[in-house]
Amino acid sequence: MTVILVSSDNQDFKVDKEVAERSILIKNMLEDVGESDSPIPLPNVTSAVLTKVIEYCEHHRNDPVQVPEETDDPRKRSNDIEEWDMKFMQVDQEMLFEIILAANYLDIKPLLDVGCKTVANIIKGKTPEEIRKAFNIVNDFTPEEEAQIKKENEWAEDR
Amino acid sequence: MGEIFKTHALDIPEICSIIASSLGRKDLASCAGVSREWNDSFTPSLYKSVQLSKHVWALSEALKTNSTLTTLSLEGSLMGNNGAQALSEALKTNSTLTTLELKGNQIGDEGAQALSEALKVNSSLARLELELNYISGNGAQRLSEALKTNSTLTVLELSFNSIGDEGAQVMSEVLKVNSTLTTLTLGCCSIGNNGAQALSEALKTNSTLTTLKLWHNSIGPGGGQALSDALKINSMVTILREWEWELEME
Repeated sequence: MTVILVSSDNQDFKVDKEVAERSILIKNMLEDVGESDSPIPLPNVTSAVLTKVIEYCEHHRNDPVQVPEETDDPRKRSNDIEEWDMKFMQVDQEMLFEIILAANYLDIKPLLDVGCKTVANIIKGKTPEEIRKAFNIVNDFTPEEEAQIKKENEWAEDR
Repeated sequence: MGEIFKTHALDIPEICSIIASSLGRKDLASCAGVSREWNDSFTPSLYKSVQLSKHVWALSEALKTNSTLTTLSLEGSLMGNNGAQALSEALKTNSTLTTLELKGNQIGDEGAQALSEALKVNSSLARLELELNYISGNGAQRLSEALKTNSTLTVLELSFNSIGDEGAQVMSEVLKVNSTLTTLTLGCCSIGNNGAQALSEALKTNSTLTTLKLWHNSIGPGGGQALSDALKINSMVTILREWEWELEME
């Protein structure tokens, strides 16, 4: 059985039901409406992003639905991204954040996690200035504020 | 359908906290220094990363000058009396923190005393959660001294501390003069008839308290009657004596 997903720019995507159901949002929708051929509108997702999301869901179509947290310490689980996922996430930053947003909206937890880990890996080991450069962020602190925040958070640096 | 307002992934707190969960303390500190928005997004995760008592001193130093954080949750950090003292020092100068969650930290009577000293001068904290902290009647006595003058604290959670009748008595003295406290939780605090009677007396004149939790205490019929009588005079307050009631309410 296939379902039709409609992106925000009105493109139709025909996908297998089991692929679409990697999204808990869509799974719940399908359960609510029952057997129906009507297309599912996804007004928050563009066709470019939806293409990527479907690619991910296709690849992971046979994964167990709920992957239990393997470790209690969340600080130790950053680099363990599967090779395929790592390659999949090699996109420009705008797309990376769009994928994260879409995964959040569509409720695809593993994709959301992989996206967030990718962002975390970009941040790791960088100074605030380097992070600004990496994400093209403007420093809107006054020099006084910046100095104060640096002082406030000094305790976090030595350990 | 109109154009959808574009949100950035980092504007969503849930997403930030997932990202933060993969970062160490140093990286979180760097994130907090990136921009105002990032500071707002990542500072809570940074402070939450403090799980062990060894960092409490450092955290307290930071709190002395921090002017953004409003809620600090250190539940179950087992910081003990020393940790509570460090935090209390910070609370004396901090003026933005409104909620401090210290449930399950073994701060004991000495910790309660330190916090009491802080509450005498602090004027921002509105909610203090101190459940399960080995505070006895003595600690309650210390806290009560501060509460007689403090006028910002509205919620004090003291459940699961054996403050006993003595503690209930000092708290009732507080309720006679304090006019800001709206919620006081004293569940499972080894309070008996005498304590309940003292509290009932106070309730007859107090007009600000709206919730008093007294579940799991050993209040007999005498104390129960006194509380019911108080309720006839004070219609503002709800007294929760059964755990089940609370579950229904919340």
